[in-house]
Amino acid sequence: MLDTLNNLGGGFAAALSLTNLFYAFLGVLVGTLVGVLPGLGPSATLSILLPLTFSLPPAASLILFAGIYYGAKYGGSTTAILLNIPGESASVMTTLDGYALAKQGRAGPALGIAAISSFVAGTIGVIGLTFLAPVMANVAIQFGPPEFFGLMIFGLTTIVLLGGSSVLKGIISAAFGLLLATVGSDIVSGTSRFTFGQLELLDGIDFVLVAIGVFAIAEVLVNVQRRTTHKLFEVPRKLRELLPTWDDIKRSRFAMAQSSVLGFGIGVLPGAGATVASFISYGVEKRFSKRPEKFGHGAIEGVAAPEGANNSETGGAMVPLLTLGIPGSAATAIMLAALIIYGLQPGPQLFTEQSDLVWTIIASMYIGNVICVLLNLPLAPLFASVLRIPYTYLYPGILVVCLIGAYSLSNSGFDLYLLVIFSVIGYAMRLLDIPAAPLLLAFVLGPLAERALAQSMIISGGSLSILVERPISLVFLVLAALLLLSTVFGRGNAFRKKVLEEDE
Amino acid sequence: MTRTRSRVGTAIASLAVLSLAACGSDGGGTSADAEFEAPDQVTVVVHTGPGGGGDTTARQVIAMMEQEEIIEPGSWTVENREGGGSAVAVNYMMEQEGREDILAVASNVWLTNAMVTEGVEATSLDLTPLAGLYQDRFGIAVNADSPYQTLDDFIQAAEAEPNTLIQVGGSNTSNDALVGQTLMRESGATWRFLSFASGGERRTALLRGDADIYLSETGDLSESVEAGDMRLLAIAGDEASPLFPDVPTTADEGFTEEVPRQVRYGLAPPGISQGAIDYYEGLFEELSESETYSNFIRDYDAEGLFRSSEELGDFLQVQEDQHIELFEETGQLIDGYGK
Repeated sequence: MLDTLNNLGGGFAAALSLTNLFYAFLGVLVGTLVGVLPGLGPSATLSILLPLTFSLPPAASLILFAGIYYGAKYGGSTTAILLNIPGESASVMTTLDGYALAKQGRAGPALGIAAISSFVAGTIGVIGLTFLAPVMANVAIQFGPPEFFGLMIFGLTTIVLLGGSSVLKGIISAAFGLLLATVGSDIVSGTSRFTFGQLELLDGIDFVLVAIGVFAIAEVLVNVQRRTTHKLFEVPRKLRELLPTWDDIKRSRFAMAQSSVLGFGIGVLPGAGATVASFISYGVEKRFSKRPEKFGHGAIEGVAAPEGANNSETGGAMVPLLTLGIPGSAATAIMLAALIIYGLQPGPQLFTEQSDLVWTIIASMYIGNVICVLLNLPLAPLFASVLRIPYTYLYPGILVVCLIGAYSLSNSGFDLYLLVIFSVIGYAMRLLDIPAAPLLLAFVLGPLAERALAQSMIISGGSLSILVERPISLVFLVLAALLLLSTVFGRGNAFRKKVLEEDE
Repeated sequence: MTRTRSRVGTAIASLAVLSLAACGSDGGGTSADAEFEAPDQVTVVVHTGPGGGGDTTARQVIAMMEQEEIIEPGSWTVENREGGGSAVAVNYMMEQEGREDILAVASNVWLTNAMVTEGVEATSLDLTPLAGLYQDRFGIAVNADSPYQTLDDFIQAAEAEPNTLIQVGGSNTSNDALVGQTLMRESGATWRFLSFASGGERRTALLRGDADIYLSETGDLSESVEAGDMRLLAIAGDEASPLFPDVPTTADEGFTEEVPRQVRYGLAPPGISQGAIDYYEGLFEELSESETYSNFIRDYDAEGLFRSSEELGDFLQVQEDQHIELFEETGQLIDGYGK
């Protein structure tokens, strides 16, 4: 403990040097900007900047990269809240209540609470990284395919919490998401599935295309169809109304606390990542909320929870990256590459052999989080005023941003056709009142669950009992069952009450 | 506010345009007949995303060439053409026919992908070989508290319980899987193969006890071996590792059949001039003779085996036959391959 504090102190001394502070600031700034734009995510930005590793010292470039990584997470909430565009899978849950708040004229508070929750949870995540890295690394090692499968099933059952009016419609949406996820190469045999001979489909469909199509463009289409003559967004004029109130922050206390813990814990598990963390954190928040009916209609804590989890995950994800050399996401994979290019092999010895470097990076993450919140809080009212733009200009603008984002994924015209298809599907779903979030959740989690199941079956030689014999996996499966039962049962109760009331 | 947003957009768009322009064909794009002129800017295509194996290799090669002043700093830039195993990158290179300012740093999957993936046609053999750089050295590792002290212990245990023990590795068509396949063929023992996307996950699967052996590049295994988490049973092939001189090779253990090798090499689009081939071959040869390179080879415990354009072409032919045979055996070879 004392050693850790000593090391961290040394890290701060190095991270607070003018050069390193500059790179932390630059990273956060660039990260926030690319986070705001859909399509060009942090991993694309990092790859563009990877050649910098040849001219910068290791500490500076890793501080820069880490800054971009969590800066982008802060920025990612912006388009989700304002325009219903989840630029990354981790922002899907933020759209649900964030966009609803924006429509009620509370975009500023939503953006503000996203920044505050990100800061609180992000910092707690880094504290976790500081003190728990060696312990958590052991947890990560113990987390194999069966455990992972259990977690994914638990994540998938949170769908029952997402379905708006009807559980059945939620399940229809999720089933469609699972179907879409089967496109690509089969995980075990490598055989092509539903690719129709298109090379572009061999690696499956990109998440961003589905998300932009069913969320953002469908939203635009629906609004255009309604020929909205009334003002779509209420935009307050007073600055005070553009920031979260004390009441908002008080309401979000539990969300910030639980998302910090969940985000860090899930971030440590290799491959789970920010998406799963944000989904589960939202689910937990709704499940334990005193006003679950508000969720999806502008509950401020419904923004705080996923955003907090998304940022707390950064600290968690650095644990397997630094201690085991396991990248949990595309962005951390590039940081791993940077380490390797410097000749640093991440692994158990990195903390002892490159102690100064590791602690400088960790210290810079504390500083970076402070910079993020200082940068993003004042930006919140500024970004919120985007909604003052009349929709005749706003909608074409959104469409252009979406198309550029989709095209920039792999500079392929094929992706634009896919985007059109998903826009139409999203539009149809809106007309039929089928929620889109379960589709995306299933689309992201389905393949992860499938891979984990396939790996488990190889380990056990085809016996399903491995899933209940391993304790961690069993715990998750039981939790999933409880969640399902309690929801179904709870609904039954509500229905009975309603019938009784009507009888009277 | 719109203005700021659009400015950011413009800035990023112009950055993108600039980088595209940088990758463009200034100086290159000459036809095969015209005299070859060394281009100022060269694009290096890789088949993985940033941080992937192919990407890292290419960036390391470029960094070393810059350090040895073989090329101007910043004159060679990596372009990630990810997708379809390596199909997107190979097809992209095919489309660049005749361009002399673009090359690729490739590995086995450029050759084998078409053998095991329906709908993939072009391979390394359709492109112009430039030079072979090095080949990876594979080690066979077990968990530190594994009961197996020698490769023979493991093979005997696998024979006693067919298809029960587990080898962990990359995809089931990757080189580590095929090395395992040749060991099975020669010994008659059988075991299962467990795939993970990243090296870290493979390592933890072995440490967790979900797998019994792990075949991987010795450079990757070295840290875990030195930390006392893993033990090496053997080195694949007939050449001992300078990093682990005491570890026997599979040839020492009685496996005489040649194991498939994971090779790294440079390719150019089809239809380029002999001048261009000679030029790039020369640059790679210069790199292979440098001290930076021999340090790199030593640190990664690879085999620094330089192959000229011609030697690489011949080698790829041999490698094709070897892999067709292996995939026929495993039943992974697709019906239409080579037709």
